[in-house]
Amino acid sequence: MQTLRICDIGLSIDASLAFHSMLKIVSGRSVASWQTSDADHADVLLVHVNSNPGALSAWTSSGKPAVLVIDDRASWPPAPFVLRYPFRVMQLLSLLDSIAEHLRSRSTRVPSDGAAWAGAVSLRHLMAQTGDRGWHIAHAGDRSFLWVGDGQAHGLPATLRGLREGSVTLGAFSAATERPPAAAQACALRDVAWWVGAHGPAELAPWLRPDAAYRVHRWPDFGRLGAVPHLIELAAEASARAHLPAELANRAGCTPGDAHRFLAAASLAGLLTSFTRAEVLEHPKAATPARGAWTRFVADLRRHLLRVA
Amino acid sequence: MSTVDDGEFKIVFTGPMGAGKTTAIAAVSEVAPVATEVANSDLIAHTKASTTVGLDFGRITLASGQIVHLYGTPGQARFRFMWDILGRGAAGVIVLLDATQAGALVQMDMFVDAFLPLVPSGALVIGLGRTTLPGALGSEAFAARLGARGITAPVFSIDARQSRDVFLLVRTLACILEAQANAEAAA
Repeated sequence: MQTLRICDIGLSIDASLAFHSMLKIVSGRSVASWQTSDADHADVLLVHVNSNPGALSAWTSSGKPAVLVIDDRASWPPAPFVLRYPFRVMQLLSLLDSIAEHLRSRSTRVPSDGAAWAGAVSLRHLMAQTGDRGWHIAHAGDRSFLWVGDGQAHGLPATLRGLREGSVTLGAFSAATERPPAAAQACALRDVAWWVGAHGPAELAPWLRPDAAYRVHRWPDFGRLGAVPHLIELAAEASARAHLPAELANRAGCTPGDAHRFLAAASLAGLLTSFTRAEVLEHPKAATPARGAWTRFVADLRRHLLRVA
Repeated sequence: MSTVDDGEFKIVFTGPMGAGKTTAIAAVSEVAPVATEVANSDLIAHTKASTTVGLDFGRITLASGQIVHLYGTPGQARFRFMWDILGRGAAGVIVLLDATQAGALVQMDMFVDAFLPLVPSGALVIGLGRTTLPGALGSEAFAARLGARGITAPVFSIDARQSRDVFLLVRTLACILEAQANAEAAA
């Protein structure tokens, strides 16, 4: 059985005593064996949402999970692990099991679909390089290629159309010895990056984090890139404020896969800003979509336009 | 802000002369748009034969029976008094620009400055026409200009003659308003 250590910080005396008592009750019922420890040796931090922001910030930067303890359901923060005081034994047990599962899956998380991400990861590295990068080439489908050089992508019209439509998959880039053929067309590298992400795997891109919040600082040009309906909803939500990936999907009313693809596309195209959980907690928000005449009317308008367009 | 209860939900199309405002409203309005066009006396600014001097008006009726009013403003600054009348209380504003026009970035600044204070939601969408023609500025230049002013607004390359493209602008505006309402309710 997996042994995990947990440390509580900033809780009231009552809350801390309750937590330690309940930890004994759940002993033997959880999927992991839980022990208390100090912060330096803990795998998980249990911290009150309004206390010790410095410690929380340092903790989240380490990548270890934190459970945020709240006293008021109305101020539920957009974080993956939240526990409301007064605690309930079964809620604590469920939360601890979720964290244990999260840690286990993270430790075994590998680029499970490495081949599917090869093109995106390779393109991302290429775009991050500065100076003269020379020419690089990658397979785009079985028999066609995409060149990157002079700050642009170059490919035959059918290849670029295939990338735009998602009918071809981009492979990893390697240094090219030949320039693109005369029939190749130039295309903005950012546009290709968007298409590669938008048509990529449904899982969260390997360079993005499920516990980080993301916001778009610039909208993609959907007039030029082409837009399917859910992408506009996702962009609107992600420009209004930062969201965790799971929260973004929920807000925009789309699947997690759609949200993951959107985030990958926006990230590859350089349109995304990431925030740590501590930064998001500076502006805690509830997770319930707004209801009211105004919102219903706007939603009706959006649906109407979708039907008639 | 225009509200559902007071029966007024209006979207304003604005931008310089010749950007396609009248055409855009005609592309999405379910009724023949009301237009107030006269012969163009300012052929230096644009060579088109006629131009709007009052307003353009169109309408979209939802399944619930509620109505969205579409207003187009005159593009010339000498009719600026109409901008305030039409823009005040709008749910959102769509600025149409011609990417080949010299000074298109400055034009964008002028219309954003004129209309954003009139729109309580601050919902703004930029439609950029003729981006594929030689000498046209790309949408990135306009988005960067807005970004430098702290404005995150969509800038889309469009053809105002295509109803699909104009619907994209209106639909994006609706998505922004919905996301804003969600964010405000969560605050």
